[in-house]
Amino acid sequence: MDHTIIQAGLASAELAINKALAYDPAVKNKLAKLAPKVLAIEIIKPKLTVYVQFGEQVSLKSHHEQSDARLTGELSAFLNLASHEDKHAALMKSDIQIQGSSQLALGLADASSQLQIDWEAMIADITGPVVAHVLGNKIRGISKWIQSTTQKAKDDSVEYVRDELQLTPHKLEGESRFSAIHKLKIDTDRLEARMARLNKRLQER
Amino acid sequence: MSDDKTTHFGYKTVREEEKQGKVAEVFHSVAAKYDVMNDLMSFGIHRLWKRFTMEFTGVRAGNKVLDIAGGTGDLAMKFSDLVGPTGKVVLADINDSMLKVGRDRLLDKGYSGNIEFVQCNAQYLPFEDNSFDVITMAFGLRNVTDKDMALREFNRVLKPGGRLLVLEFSKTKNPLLSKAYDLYSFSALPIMGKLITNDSESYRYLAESIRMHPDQETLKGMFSEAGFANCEYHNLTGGIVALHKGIKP
Repeated sequence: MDHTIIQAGLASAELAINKALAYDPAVKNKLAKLAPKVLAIEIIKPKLTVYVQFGEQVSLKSHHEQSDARLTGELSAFLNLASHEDKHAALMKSDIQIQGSSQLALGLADASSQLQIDWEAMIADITGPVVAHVLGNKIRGISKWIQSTTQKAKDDSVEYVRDELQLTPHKLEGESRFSAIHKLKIDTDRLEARMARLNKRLQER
Repeated sequence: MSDDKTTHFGYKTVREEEKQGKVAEVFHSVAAKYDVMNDLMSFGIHRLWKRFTMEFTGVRAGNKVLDIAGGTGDLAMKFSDLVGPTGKVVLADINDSMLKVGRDRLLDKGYSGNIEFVQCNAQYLPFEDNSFDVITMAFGLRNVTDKDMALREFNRVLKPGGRLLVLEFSKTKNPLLSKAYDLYSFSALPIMGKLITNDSESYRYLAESIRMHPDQETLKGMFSEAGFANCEYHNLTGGIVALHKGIKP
């Protein structure tokens, strides 16, 4: 990929990140404390490495001589990580490899999990506080409605697939079946051990 | 028969001692609207080329940096932030009009203390040997009369291990892009120059001087000849621009 396109992407992302951080001073301070460390994010396919330099402002670069930590993984793994709320836990479970200072990588994961942008302040900078407050209330109302509707749709669809279509068992049924399978496995292992022991005894005679 | 040495001024062949004056006329003419024209001509992409250059400088707090042909101070401003109060940035340009624009711009933005402004010729740098950690030259080398001599001077004033970065127009190998670029440079640029700065000739010179500038491999060879090691270049925007880097051994 041409360096100019990469630079355009990095410059835009850097601007957006710093703009967002300006409306969450707590996370901004946490990231500033990581200065002057550099985290390399290496995407295997498509091959791209982005260096994140921490400071008063976050800088994104395509070249840097040294990094304090390196995260390596597929693009899908990074996108999956970005979609999780608890990025610390998601990073530990993911296929992303961490080299160097894991504290730095986890520090960034923690900070980005805690990011809560003050949208109202952002709007207030453009429209003034009164309009921003009215808009903020509306946005909060719409956001609450979307959240509850999404959750309800999710619950209803699970219920429909399980109870109406009977395509999947109930959670308790499933757990009971898995518990029975687990018990059977343990019993089989015991029986196998016992057979082996008896077989050994027979051979000794 | 004359013994006068000649060089290129765009597509014209001129005596070496004439070129400096002619280039000076061009930049006196465009200095006031240099930034506006840069943004217009490159659609703002020159900022991305310079951003890429900054990534390779590796400048740290306390470093001493020379931004030669620094013009309106785009890079010097960034260096000033990076080197901090313990470092030093020298913004140098042969053209006093460009240097004045750069100096006023930087001072108006509150940059002072760690910046010096020096009017000098890249071929005869008024600095001691081994005095800079980094030297950058963005879109200046093609205007220098004796490029080899300038490169040797950069090598002289750099500290061992110091790096030279030259960002300059270069040659694209993509035939389609090359055709579009030629059409743009020789048709649109002079018209834009005429409209904005009332000077189409200067922008015709810009297009011609780009074509006469050495290509990527030739310039890399010139870096090695001047004594630089680990010479490399990176093409930008399909090779329209290239960033050359060399380290003083």
